[in-house]
Amino acid sequence: MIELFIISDFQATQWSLETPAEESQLRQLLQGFETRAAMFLVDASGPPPTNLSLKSFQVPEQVALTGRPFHAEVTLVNHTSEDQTREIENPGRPVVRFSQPVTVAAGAEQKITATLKLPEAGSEVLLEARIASDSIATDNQIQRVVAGRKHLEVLLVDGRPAPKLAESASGFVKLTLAPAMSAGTPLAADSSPFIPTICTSGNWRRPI
Amino acid sequence: MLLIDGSLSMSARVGTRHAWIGPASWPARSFLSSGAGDTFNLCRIGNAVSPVIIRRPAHDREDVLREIDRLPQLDDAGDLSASLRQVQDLLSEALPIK
Repeated sequence: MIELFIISDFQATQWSLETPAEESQLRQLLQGFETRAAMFLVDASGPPPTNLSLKSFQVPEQVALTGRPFHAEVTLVNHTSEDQTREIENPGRPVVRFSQPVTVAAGAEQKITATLKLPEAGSEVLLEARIASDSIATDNQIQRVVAGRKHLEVLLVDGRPAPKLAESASGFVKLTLAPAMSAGTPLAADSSPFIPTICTSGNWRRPI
Repeated sequence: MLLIDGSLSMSARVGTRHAWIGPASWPARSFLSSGAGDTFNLCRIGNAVSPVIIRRPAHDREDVLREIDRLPQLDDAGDLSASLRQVQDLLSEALPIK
């Protein structure tokens, strides 16, 4: 006598297949088992778990600049049949600490945008979003790496270099990117995140 | 023959109760009460290439329990259809019902 024990929490997402054909195939498989064995379905689920998960963590800017705000988009999913409120936070290192309460409707997804700030430059910055622990701990934190920079260096290749700003092909672009620098002010006084360097198309290893 | 769900939701913890087979905390151990000559196969619902953990029927209940304790709780969704097809194959290989 063969006994088959299937031990599962029988989650609908797993046991309800996508198409009627798949459902029928599953039913046939289970019926086939019954002809070969005594089948026992053992429900290991217990009371419904409370689960809110972090689904995604995006940083659209991709580069975090020192002292300047940048945005992170976090998507949360509520897997329960009741509205859930959680505090979403990042731990505060290396970015300035962020914390915000979020209420996600039952069975819904919600995207929030966090404004973060990087106090010190580094090569790569590890960001983390976190919510309080619940029934399933694995999906309560999510991490992303972004580049952390003090400035962004921009190379302008000028096909018509000239000493006067108005005559140079790159003059106004440079002025737009770094106004104070273009006016001859020391770099420290420039609030622009860009450091433009101009070169010619024939010799772009040697800045003008 | 045991088919154990190893998908992510089985790691859910409600209070002190844990669906996954933590060492010594798994209530389904009682299903493994065996008589002389009983053998066991073990499969896991997961995304592994082969869901079969013990293909060749094992006679020693303690060996099977040790194998269950060593099953990792993974974070995948679990390929139910593939796992059930493997169970179907195992059942086909087993001795026919008399």
